[in-house]
Amino acid sequence: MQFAWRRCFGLVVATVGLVAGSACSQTPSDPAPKPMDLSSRQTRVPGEYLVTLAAGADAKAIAELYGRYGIKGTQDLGRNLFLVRLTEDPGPAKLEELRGQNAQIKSIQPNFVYRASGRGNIQ
Amino acid sequence: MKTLLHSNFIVALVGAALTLYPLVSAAPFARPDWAGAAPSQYVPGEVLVKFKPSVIAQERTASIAALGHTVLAQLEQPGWTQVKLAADQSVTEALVAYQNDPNVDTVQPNYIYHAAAVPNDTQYGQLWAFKNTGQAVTSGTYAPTSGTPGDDMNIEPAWSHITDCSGVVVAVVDSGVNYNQEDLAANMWNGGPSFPNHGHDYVDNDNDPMDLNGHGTHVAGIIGAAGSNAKGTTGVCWHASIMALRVLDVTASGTTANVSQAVNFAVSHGAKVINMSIGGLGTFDQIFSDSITNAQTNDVVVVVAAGNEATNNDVSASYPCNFTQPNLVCVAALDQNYALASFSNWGAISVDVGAPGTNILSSWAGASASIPDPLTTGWTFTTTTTGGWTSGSIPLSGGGSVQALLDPASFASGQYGSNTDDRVRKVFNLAGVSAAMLQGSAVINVVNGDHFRTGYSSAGGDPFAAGGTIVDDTTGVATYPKFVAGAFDISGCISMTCSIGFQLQSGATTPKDRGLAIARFSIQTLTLNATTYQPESGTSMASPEVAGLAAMLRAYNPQYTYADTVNAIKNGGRSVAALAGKTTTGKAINVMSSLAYINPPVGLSATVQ
Repeated sequence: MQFAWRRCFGLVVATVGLVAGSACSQTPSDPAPKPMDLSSRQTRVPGEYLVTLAAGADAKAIAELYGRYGIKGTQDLGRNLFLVRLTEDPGPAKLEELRGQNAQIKSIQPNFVYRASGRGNIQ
Repeated sequence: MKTLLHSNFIVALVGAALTLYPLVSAAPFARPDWAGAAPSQYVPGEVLVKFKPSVIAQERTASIAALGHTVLAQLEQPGWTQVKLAADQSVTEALVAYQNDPNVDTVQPNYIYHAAAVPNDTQYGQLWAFKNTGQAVTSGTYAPTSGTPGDDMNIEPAWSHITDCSGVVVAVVDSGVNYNQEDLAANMWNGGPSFPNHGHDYVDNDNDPMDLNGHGTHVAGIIGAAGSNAKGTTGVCWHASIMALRVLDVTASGTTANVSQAVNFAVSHGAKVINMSIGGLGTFDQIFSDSITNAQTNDVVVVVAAGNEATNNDVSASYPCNFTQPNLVCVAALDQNYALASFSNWGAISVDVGAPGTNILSSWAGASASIPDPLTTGWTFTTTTTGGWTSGSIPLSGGGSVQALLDPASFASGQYGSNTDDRVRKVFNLAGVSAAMLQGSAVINVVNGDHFRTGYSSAGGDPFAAGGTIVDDTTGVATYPKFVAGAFDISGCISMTCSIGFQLQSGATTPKDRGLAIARFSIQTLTLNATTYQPESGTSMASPEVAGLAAMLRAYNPQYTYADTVNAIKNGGRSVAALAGKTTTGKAINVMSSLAYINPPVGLSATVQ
């Protein structure tokens, strides 16, 4: 499990014509292409979702519904709960939208990230 | 040192001849202090009676004789008489009788006093949370490192009554526990042949929850480091049953999947208290919440940290603190003057109590070391085109500059090139350590489809060649001008020839972006041992103080439900100004008062006969 480069950090590169914002915000005038906000703490594992099946449902329903994104792996966690790793991550909203198409899928949610609350872990 | 046994001390309900009231000061009506005292805490067959000043000696004697009692002594304290009861009369009956005598001002049991229990652990004097004498915590990193005498958990009087909580299994859902640590080995959960290492590891999915970070071992020590064993520290409980459930990896990160499984494991394997010194920001987590509900259904108390963002959880939710199940207690951190710690989250709705959380000395999983690298020499640069990585300095907006690995060399004014494969690596000697973590900060501006990779090779050489391991692959990111921090488990690289590297691989698509700057590179290592202790600060440290209390309460009162336990924690606390309006109770935990707290009986009525 890796969560990559992720957290807000107190260093800001000196810029010309740019005013550095707060330590956890993108600078609006930043001309960088395809900006993605890494500045806040990452809260979910990219590509990983927890799927709860309806009672009596077949786990094959997961592949039927979400296989279009490529399934790297599925782990049965018990209690009708499965950890699903997708090759492509369309985002929680899209997967939730798809859920409504298959009654065998009771729910789907991101695999959220939690961290130790020791102060040494604060950047 | 002698300590008065608190007269409100409660073990069991007194006889049904009394009407029962809540004990705490919040009780809406007066109640005799002795009403909850347990028979074991006073001398049987005796009471102490203080008659009103206007009552003459003959009237006192008559009152005593009318009940069939005899005078044992007139105490030196004016007005008090030590009385011997009739053979068939209980102390409770006598107390009621004297209370109804108009000649009597006050009556109480003849309490038994105990010497306060003080453990002989070598570093006990550093544990300000248990006994704040104003001492300075050596190696403490949070200012202040000394505080106000008396601002502590008031635990020593409680240890006169109970130190053994081993009848209550406490699950530490964390980075694992070094179950070989000298202060913890004797206090680990017996998991039988199925769980010979005292728990389970949901990071690596095996039954060895050895701590490769240190955090969980610290938490476990606060709850249940062996007390009075002439070593190290002591926990809230001197004897404990710690179930180790590893959900956080080497970098102290975990997931819903790990945590929810661990909670369900704890519940199904008999834990009655769960500590989770973890936090995640933002979104409600249904599956995690369901596991807390499962704990509630099975009568398990869950204690969690408020978080260290110095924010109001009522405004910016932090889970699990913001879950609303009644079996959950969320804990803020107090410093050595009982001010709210500067980093501690709070919440008048979401956070329940405060507990000591700065400069808390406890066990650690092993020896920690840092291998910083100045990013100047020893790095090998390769490229398939021209340019590529270089070592250089970049100015910072706040003034000064920072040494960094840069690609391109013209970062941040230029752009990296197309169709290139730029690599940089350096060999480090990590032989002999138990775990290793790469830390750094980086500005990352790579367009979608181009890749910034981080990797290692334990055999040396190119981490991005066959045999290497890629720990991160980032694309389509623009953080400029901000640095972001990274932390990666590189324990697979433990060798004399651990080669760590970075790669920028680009395709033909244009335009490109600013590229990469990597600064503040270091490797953090942990070498397991059984004898390390160190102070830490965080709500992570406050939470297990409360979890230990919960275990103590349930060990002392085996009939306690989760609701009884939570009530005793909250209502037994001490009002602290810094927590007023910042927590649901405005209180810091007070171990002795919580132990003395009696939960109001439900559905029970009794009358004086």
